[in-house]
Amino acid sequence: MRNALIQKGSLFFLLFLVVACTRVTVKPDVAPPQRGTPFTLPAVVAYEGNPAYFPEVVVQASGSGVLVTYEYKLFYEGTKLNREILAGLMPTTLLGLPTGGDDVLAVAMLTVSRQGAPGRTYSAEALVTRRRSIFGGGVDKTEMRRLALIAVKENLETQLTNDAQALLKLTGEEDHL
Amino acid sequence: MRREVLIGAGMFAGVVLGGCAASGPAFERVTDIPQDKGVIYVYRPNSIIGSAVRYDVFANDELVCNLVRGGYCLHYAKPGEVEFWGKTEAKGSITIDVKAGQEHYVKGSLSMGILLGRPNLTLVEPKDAMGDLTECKLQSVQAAKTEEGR
Repeated sequence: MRNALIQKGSLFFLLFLVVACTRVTVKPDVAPPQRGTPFTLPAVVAYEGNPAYFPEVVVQASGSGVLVTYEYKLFYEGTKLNREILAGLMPTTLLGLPTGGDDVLAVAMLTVSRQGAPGRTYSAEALVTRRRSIFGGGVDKTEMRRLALIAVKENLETQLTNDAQALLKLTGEEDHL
Repeated sequence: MRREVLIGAGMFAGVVLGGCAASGPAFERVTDIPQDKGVIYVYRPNSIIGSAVRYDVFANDELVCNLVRGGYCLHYAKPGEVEFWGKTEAKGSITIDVKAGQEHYVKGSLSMGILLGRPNLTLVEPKDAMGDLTECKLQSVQAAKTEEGR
């Protein structure tokens, strides 16, 4: 009897943890870069946002003939309160099942160009979802935004590293690889 | 007897909910945005759901206003990241990238909590915000500070 109660309790606790968690999904799927010399791309950077969200592979070099532009856009979606109230009428709400949720989508685009040569464009998007219950909602939107922007940044870093040969050809520094 | 109870309940609800609606100057769009700053409209639609709950909204550590249903406030900020947040039984926040000379719209609402609704702030597109904002009344920082001091 006691064991059965503990099992049920553990199940509900586990369920609570699962539904309250935050999930990050990133596109596109990219293969991890091969080990070797770390790749860096010296360029003039056109980006005015927080440096923490800018791909670290690109290094600011004011004299470079290569221009890197980076921009991102964020989209927010969430459950409205009237729907949450309806969901809240369910007895399972007291067990911590979700009454609503939020999504933050970050869409980022990075362009590498050099005068007189066709540029290369890389894009990534990250969707951060969270489910809210009356006991809490996990991370808030500031943190969801941070997770989304870090996810697209890391995805773009991998894409750039995987594309090192083509980028060095474009920048005319092929011999330095 | 039953009728009197219903009338009493109706009057109580009227006082509680009606007292929470915003009062102040009607919505007016800012036409002269400073060159070196962005303007942020923080507003709460005039919806009766959750209207008994009001909360202060801060931009980083600066008090912006006390957000009630049908109210909006203005905040000018230098370009960069600014975190808008409010707190009832839990904190709700959103960080936006303020751009010089541009308008940004932060919509305040509530999500469900145990005892109280929790602040739920979100960034909205201008076309979506305008429909709600035209029905909103301007709230001042002074009023929020007075409220906070009580």
